[in-house]
Amino acid sequence: MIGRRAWAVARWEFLRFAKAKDFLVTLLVTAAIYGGVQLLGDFARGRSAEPRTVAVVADGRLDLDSPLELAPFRFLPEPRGLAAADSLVVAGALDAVIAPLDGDWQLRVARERGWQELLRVQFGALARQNELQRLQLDPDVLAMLNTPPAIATVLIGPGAAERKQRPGTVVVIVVIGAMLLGLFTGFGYVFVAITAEKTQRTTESLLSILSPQEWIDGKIAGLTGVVLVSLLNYLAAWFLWQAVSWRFFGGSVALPSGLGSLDLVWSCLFAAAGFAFWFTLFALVAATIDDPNSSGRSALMFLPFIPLGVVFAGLDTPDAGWMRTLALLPGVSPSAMPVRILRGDPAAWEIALSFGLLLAGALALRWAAGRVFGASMLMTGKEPGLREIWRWLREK
Amino acid sequence: MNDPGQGPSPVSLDIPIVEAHALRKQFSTALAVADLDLQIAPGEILALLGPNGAGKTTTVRMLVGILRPDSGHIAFRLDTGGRPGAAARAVSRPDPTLLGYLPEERGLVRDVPVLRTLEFFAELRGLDRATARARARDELMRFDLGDRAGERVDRLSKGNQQKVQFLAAILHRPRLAILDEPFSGFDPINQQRFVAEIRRLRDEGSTILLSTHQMDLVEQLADRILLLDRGRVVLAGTLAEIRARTSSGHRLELELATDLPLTALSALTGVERAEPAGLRRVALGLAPGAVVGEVLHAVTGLVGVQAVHSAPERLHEIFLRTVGRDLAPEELTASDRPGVKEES
Repeated sequence: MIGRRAWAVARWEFLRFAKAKDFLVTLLVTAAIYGGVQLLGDFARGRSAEPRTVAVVADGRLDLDSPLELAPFRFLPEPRGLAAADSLVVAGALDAVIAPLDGDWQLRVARERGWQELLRVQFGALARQNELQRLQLDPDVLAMLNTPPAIATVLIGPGAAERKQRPGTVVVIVVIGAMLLGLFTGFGYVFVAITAEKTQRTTESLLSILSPQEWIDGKIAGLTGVVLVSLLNYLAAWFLWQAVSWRFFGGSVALPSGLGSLDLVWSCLFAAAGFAFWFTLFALVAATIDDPNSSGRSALMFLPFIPLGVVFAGLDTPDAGWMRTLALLPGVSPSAMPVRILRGDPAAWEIALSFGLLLAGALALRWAAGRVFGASMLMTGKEPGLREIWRWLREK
Repeated sequence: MNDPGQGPSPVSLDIPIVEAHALRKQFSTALAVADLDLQIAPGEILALLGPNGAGKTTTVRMLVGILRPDSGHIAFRLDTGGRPGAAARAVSRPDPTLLGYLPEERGLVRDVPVLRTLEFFAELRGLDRATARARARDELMRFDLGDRAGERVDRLSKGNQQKVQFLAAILHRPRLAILDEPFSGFDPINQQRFVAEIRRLRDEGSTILLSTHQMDLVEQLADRILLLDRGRVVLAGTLAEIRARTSSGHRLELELATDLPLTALSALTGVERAEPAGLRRVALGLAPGAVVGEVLHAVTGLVGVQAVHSAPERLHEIFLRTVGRDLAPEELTASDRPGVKEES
């Protein structure tokens, strides 16, 4: 619990950094960026929609009398022969030539590219169809041969009916990305708020009123609030762009699928507790920095970004042993457990234990930060060493 | 005007509002405060004097709870204002809503408007937001900053920032205001204005502990003076008591007809020291027991004297004489040593 004075500090920090004008500008600029990215993507997709032209020198092996479009390729019959087709590829007028080679086919190109894999698959299917048609099979038989068997997913075991659909990788990346964005934003706010206070010498006035614990509690609460509002602002910008897009370009609003409300609640809880955990550590480190321009300790503040990077490696194996372990560690759990919740199958006790450990870790860090904060905020001209910090932690 | 030099102390120390006993603080290389005793009577203005490094700021920081003394104890009776029967309710840490503190190291958050800064400090000191806002507006008007309330602090001049810092310390009308170097950075006009403000604060019921180098202002303001040197109290009492205790001789101010080297004057019998006091004016500090007529006779033998003024010794001179044992230059100038903990 934090007291009245700590709330006054929280309000002060919140109002100091959460400026309505800045949020409005960010909202509009971010919405414009979302729009720009989407329009650029559409443009790029439109460009790549131009089919690649492939000449087919069939030599009687394939029935192709007229151009055939199979996106993203256009197959053109080339009756003039291989040499003529090759010269067009070399001149850049064609993308590729396909011709018989012994009993198989050959792909003739100026250089190897990624799209040629798809071309192999597409042309293979085309050639197979052609051979089936030459067999003059019954149309029903032909249709049966052309239809691959459907494989449905059936959930089994107790409570299978209630089990959720999993959100796609993009949704999980967005959740982790939001965490990353929040950490970066919070890192900036905490760093500026504390080092500026040290250099502007506001410390003594405040420490004659507040205990260091009240001060740091208020700071963390206020700055966490600013970061959460910032993230909501980015979300609002996305909705704003969706609304603009729907109004002027038509289509429908794209909502993430497979994201349950409980998933969101847990993700938000882990994010908020994770921000509190990491911002407390940021505050502790920032308080020991004497000159923010030259201190090597600034690098310590990038520590939380390591677990975030590691967790990305576990997106496809959320229930692997190492991910289960990471999801229990305070500091890593804010990013690892949401991945498990969204993509894996953590047991309820694992989620509860992970959250409990995170809260306990945050409280322990809060206690340590209060000790270090009070002493190091008064220290100017030098930075406390580890031995000194250890002594402050042990002082009664 | 309070004139401590003209009569007995108007304060009673029967039940002091603050009482410190045997305070001691050692830093890594220096003993900042050594077994210091201090009492502040309710309603008085007590001045802490001393050269840099004397232990004033360390004492103040221990009183406000920023530094912990190595030994000794401090008792506050702010809630009862030192009234009889209050002794049993002494506490070791001051209630922040009853304390005002203007630190020597000034600092306000620069990118926040003046009014919000004052509201914040007043709210932390226990005022509700509406009262804090109303009082901040009134005080800003009184300090000619009414039209600057919405501006960021860093848009104000240094002097105006000082005013805001002072207001932040006293807006909640504290029982005890501890003001560390309240006049530094002010021009003489604003210094006099602040003398009046501090007096007004006392008249409204605050007790004031003042730590400053400005001797002439201390003479105008202080009911009692505590002169510190090397962490110890070397003189204490009203100015009159201090003058009596130091048994200093008279002070003569002479207007001379021509220039004369000070060394010639200070070599005269009965003269302890000679100092410049203006154009062709010198101040002579006489040794205890020196006869004024004999000294004047000796001076007129050297140079023509156009006018003579006699006055009791100034606090500045008592200060220099008492702690003037080869003061190093850094002791008489603002300290720029790093590390709050190492300052005093």
